[in-house]
Amino acid sequence: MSNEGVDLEKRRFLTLATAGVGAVGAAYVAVPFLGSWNPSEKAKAGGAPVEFNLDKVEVGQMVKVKWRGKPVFVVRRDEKSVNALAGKGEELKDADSAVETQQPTYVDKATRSIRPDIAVIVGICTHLGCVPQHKKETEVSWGGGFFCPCHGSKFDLAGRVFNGSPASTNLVVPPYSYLADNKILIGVDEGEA
Amino acid sequence: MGIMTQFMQWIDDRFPATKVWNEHLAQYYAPKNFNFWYFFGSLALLVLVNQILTGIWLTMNYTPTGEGAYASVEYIMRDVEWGWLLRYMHGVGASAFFVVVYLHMFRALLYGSFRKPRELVWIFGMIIFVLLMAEGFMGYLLPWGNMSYWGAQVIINLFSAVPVVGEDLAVWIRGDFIISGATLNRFFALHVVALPMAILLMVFLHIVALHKVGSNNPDGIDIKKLKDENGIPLDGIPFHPYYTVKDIVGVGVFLLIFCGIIFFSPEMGGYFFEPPNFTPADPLKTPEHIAPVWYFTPYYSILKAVPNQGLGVIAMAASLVVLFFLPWLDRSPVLSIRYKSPIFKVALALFVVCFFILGYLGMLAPNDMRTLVAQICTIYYFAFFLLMPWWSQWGTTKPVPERVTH
Amino acid sequence: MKSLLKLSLISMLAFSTTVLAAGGGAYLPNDKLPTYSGHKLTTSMQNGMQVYMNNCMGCHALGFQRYNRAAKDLEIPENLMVENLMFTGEKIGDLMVNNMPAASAEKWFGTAPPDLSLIARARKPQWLYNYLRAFYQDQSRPYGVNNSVFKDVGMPHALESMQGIQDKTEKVKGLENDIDYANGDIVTARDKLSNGGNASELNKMIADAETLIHDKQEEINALAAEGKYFTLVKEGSMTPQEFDSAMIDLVNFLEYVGEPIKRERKSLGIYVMMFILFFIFVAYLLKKEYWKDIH
Repeated sequence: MSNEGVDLEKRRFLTLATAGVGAVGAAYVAVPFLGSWNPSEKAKAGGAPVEFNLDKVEVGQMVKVKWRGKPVFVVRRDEKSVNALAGKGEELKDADSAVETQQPTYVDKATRSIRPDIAVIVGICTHLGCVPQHKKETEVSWGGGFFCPCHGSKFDLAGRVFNGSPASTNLVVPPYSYLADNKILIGVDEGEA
Repeated sequence: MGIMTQFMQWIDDRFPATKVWNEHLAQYYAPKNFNFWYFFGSLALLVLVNQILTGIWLTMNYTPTGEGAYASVEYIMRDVEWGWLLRYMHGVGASAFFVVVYLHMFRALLYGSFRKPRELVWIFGMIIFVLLMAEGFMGYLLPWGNMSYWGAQVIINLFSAVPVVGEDLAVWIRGDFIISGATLNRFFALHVVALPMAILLMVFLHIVALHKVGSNNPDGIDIKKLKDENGIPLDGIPFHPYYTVKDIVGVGVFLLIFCGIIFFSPEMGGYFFEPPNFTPADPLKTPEHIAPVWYFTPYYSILKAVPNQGLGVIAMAASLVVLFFLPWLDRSPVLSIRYKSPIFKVALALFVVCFFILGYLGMLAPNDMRTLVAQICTIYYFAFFLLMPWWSQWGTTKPVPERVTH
Repeated sequence: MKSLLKLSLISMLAFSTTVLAAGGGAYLPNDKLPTYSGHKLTTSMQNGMQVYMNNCMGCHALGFQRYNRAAKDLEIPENLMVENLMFTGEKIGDLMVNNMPAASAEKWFGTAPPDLSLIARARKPQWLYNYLRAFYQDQSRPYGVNNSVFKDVGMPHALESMQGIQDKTEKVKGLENDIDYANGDIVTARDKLSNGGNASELNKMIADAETLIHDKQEEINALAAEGKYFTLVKEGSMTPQEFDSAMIDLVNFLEYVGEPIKRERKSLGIYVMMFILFFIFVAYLLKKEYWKDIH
């Protein structure tokens, strides 16, 4: 073994080159391992748009629909509660639906729906992800809406969060569209179906 | 002092990082004449890492139940992004593991690497080999294909050959009267938790024992006999960087073959993935022809060659047990085949031929001729080892040089 | 070392090309399945899917295959797929299952029609190609047909309207008769032998019968190779050439379903191999540089 005439520069270059190519290879190897954590085809198929017939919901009632494994609340509101939605500005954190991520652009800012009488809302509390309960006007003193049993967040019938709740944003309105007067498609934006 | 040096000093005061690095890599002196056969140790380590990583990832989508296992494997193959690659890496990796381990063991036969003072290195290695066989066998049940099912059925029934308690023992292993979800569940637990831990521990001990006594070499010479003024073996070179850079080339060539199989022929013509395993397990229908995966077939052949169930099982077990005693069976005055008598070369060549024939016959349905050939090879297999204390001393050996040939 | 490396590479190759002969067993006819690639393969698989959906799907599900995956891989636009290939209102992301109740199916056919998702991996594509074309009339069977590749199969001739009905040619029937008789002779001779008959005479009889069987079998093989194993006794809606071509398409489709990733896997493999070769090249230079020290 001898170390005379060793071209250190060349060695450093080749070491870096091998390490570099090896690192690129390792990155490629990581791709399948990381990629396999993405939603599978089964999960994607489960996340397909869901059709829902509105005839199933009576006035004042709520029906839960499963979309992407999440509960979506469909509520048929009577005229009185729709009118009440407009006058609640003071009690709510975001009465005018200013937080853009919480609803599609094509819903009304106050009713948070395409048609005033039908509310479509993802039933997942924006605080820590529990499923809120539907409370009718007659059941509670605060005018009815959704109540999260985990940490007591309160939302009105348009899914807007009341002051004093741990949740800071309104419930999410999913993308949906009308296929007919009594039929909606949850998961596809209005105008794209 | 640079910040890096300071940092290493801080670590070294608390953990022997530099000490371990030097003892096992930078100042671990390996003989400078390693050849082709010395790639397979590091390759086995590489495949082990591959199996553990892909295995962990497969469990993320696999369902270890009789009802769900088969479908979950197809779910991995089709619905999980890149799942097909992870499964092929694991399935082909299993076969690759045995390829490199067999070659690694053959290297020991060639150069007497199991001889004094490396007896423990060999024994730890043999334990790894047996654990690996258990690991492979249990892993093969998990896809829950019809070959998985009937392969396990046949092998577990071997235990019913044990006198008196045999039948009860087989039922106890299965946890049912046939192979069922209960069997699958316990095999799964052993395959993914217990056996890998045992293998990792044994690999650690294997390397510790090796580094205590130092590596053998193709000349079978003890390089520690001749040292320079600094106490460094004259024929030794530091493992790092010389053998790390060499092994990296070996890794590259291995990956070329490994990926070639994965991407172009993962079934390997039915050797790595057997066609009947693409039908779900069916307790009412045996595949037309049951053969274990290729790496078990030599031992399976020995089992079939003995015309008695109990004795066959004993012969099969003995064919593995005898390997443990190899360090004390070889009585030749020299270690390496390079200086051994021609008798050894012929005997070893015949052994390799017999081993291949046994492996080949293990895949085929038996007939009179094949059974006879398997019996002859079985007898030779045992004669090779059991008579080794005598025949290894026959013939004249060549003089062993002082320094390694390079 | 180099020669050893070469040797191991060669043996690996030989290993991979050797096909496990055991198991499947011989069958007749055994026509070669032509291999398609590129666009021709895609079109063929599309046709095959149509044949499958129209003729096979009623009984045989493809329970691991999703419609949208097939649409993507076979380059069929999703709306065309929904309109033309999905008959019972499934969603595009659904698995290709059918509504056949397994229990009554078992009553009808003796065994439930298996799911065919992996049939092309369990059986070889060439076997499927020959099996699908090997139904012939046989009044002794419940559906009036038998299959020369899969003897006494429980399946009726589902593609009869396309293929028509075929029968073994007179020559083949004659030769098979001869073989049956010879086999009978062997059994009789063995019987007599065990009852203490004239050993040398009976052994000669057996040997003669075996030679005869071998020769006749060779003749049948030759006929099958020339395409003279079957003859059409009732025409179907397709000519034999059209039917063969439809079956090639069907088998190509089933081969696709057996492993949907196959084509992508191979094309990806080429890049992987090139990358590893490059890595070996750089690593080898590094090794050579360091090993200059060692004399």
